[in-house]
Amino acid sequence: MIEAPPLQTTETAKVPLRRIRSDRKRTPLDWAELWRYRDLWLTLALRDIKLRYRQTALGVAWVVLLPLMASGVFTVVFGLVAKLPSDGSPYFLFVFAGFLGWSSFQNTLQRCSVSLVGNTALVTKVYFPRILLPASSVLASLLDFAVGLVVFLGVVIARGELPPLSSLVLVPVLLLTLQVLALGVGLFMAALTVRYRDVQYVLPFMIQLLLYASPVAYGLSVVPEHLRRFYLLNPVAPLLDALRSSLLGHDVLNWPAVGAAALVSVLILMAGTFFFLRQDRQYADVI
Amino acid sequence: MPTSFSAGPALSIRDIGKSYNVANRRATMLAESLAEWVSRARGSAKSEKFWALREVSCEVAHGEILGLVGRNGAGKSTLLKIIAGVTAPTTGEVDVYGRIGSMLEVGTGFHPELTGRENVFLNGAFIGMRRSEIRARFDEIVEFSGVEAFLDVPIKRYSSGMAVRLAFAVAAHLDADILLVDEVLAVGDQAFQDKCLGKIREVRLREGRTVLFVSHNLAAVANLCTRALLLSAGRVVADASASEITRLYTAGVAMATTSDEVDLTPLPRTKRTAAQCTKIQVSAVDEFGVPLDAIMPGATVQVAVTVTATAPISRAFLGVEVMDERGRPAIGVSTDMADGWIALDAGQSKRVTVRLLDVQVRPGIYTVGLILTTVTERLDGLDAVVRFEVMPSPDGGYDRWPGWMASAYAPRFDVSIG
Repeated sequence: MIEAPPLQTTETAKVPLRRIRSDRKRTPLDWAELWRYRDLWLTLALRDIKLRYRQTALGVAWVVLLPLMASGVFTVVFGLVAKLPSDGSPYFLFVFAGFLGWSSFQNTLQRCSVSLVGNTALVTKVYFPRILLPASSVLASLLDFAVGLVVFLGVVIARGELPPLSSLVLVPVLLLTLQVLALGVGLFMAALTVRYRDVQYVLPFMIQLLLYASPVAYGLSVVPEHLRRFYLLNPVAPLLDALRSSLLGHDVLNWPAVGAAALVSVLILMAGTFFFLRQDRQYADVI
Repeated sequence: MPTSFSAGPALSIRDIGKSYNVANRRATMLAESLAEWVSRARGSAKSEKFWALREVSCEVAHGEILGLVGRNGAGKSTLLKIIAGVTAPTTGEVDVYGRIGSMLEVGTGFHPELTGRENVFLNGAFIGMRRSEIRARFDEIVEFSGVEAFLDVPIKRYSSGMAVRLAFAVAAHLDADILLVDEVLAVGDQAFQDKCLGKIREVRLREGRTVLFVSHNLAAVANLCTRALLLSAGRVVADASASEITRLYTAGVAMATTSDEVDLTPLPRTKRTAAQCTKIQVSAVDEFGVPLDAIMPGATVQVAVTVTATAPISRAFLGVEVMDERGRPAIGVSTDMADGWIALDAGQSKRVTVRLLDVQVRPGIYTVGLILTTVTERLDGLDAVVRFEVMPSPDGGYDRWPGWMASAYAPRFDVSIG
């Protein structure tokens, strides 16, 4: 293809702001453009947040109610009936702290996976960096986490058991790492769902499976020593466990595993971005 | 801010083509995809390509208003989508010298559950505006739209006209160098359409912006555009002044004689739906339904359309629109107005006959467009499928008076003086 700008006027030839080409295999990651569109990222996230609880009687309360209800069920089943240990904390708080992290991971992953097919009209009609659609789901999950965290801290303070600050400062770091992982996997799912709606049926099942393969209902400490190395191959596990430990003020058991999971998360995000951008040019035609 | 425009093009389009793989388009299941893979590996894949656009080249100068004219499926919207960056071209490239603002189907970015105010911000963000820019222009936008009173009401409670007003207002106030406008003026009342056209013209004059304008309203194209492209089956068949293009477009439509039945199946459609208009016959008939040789003012014009379904449909209706030589609507009726609903089983065809009684239009050439739709889904839309000539009646008087500024509709009338 021709590389030079076509029209050489007598004045200085102007360089095109954008060149649309047919011989590109994938869309490059254009940081400058993403920066220009940063307000769209915010607006999309705000739209989703506003929409989620419009015309619901309880509104934002659902953000807290759902993990509370799930924690209640888990407390009865795994705490009272199965009598799983909870590393010294009340079992309910233990599960609730686990669910805070888990919900943020699960929500991002689920919202990402439907972010393109749920906005078909936009994808086929308007131009904007597509990656903003899945990326905006992170913000909503962070907000959900923040609301949940306030409730959690309220309970903890009421009980007079506020964990040390040195432990709490780890929470945002671990949460972000978890979001990086969720977004990375979510980007794969978003791109795949455009072509194969099968993903929509498989994913909830996989998420359910992952919930039991991750330390939510139980702690890392109950996983037998000789199985732990396999168990920790799931990068969600060490991150979730470390996040809960930080929330409850417990010691993080396995720092090397957390570090490895963080590294894997970043790699998955990079791979997911690459995969997503590779399909980018086809979304409007295939969706 | 719009970048300064002096010399040089705003858009340089070179050899743009877009093909769709018809055979593979439906391979959306993993199993199908695998089967396709296998057959490709064996070298037995039959890929059937449909070219929506082919070898389109064109330079658009700064400050031009370029009209894109052509039937449905000619590739106008595809070209706009490629320029906007929504879909990628198969061949060629486009250089864009400036910020693009697109209004591809106004209101696309609107969400029914959000209020008008929230939607202004959302829609603005989609066309690349910063929140601060939108805030700065918010009052201007709202004033132009004329929906102040409903700003905090969800869009789902708006009439479609109100939503369109708001959407157009947002897009027209966008700081873009190149504005892509697709069929915005199809909705909205005449006064608002005129206001929009005025706004587009003003935007060009005052700010030197370039506008690409797709419309079926030939009058608007002729009025507004400095230049136009006529597209047919994905190719540019003419690149000339807007008035020349509208003339060519109207002239290119098949002429109906009283006995012809025109086959509509070869016309390009943009999507596959449950039912289509497959044949049309336009004729003048007398009061017993016997065809007449010529259509004259006051005639009964019979439009007989064969509708064929590939899947069952119920409660569909057919709209018939007749345009005059300048592309102005002269007649518009639809079967639901007379409680005529079409129901078909898969594979079934029915002939829908609309008799236009006492057609008092001036002598001249008219084109017929069809819309087949249900309440929820548009099944088929074809404009200018056939044209017919209304001959002057023997007692027609001064109809052919030179310089006559004719409206299409001309009722019988009398005059008394003194």
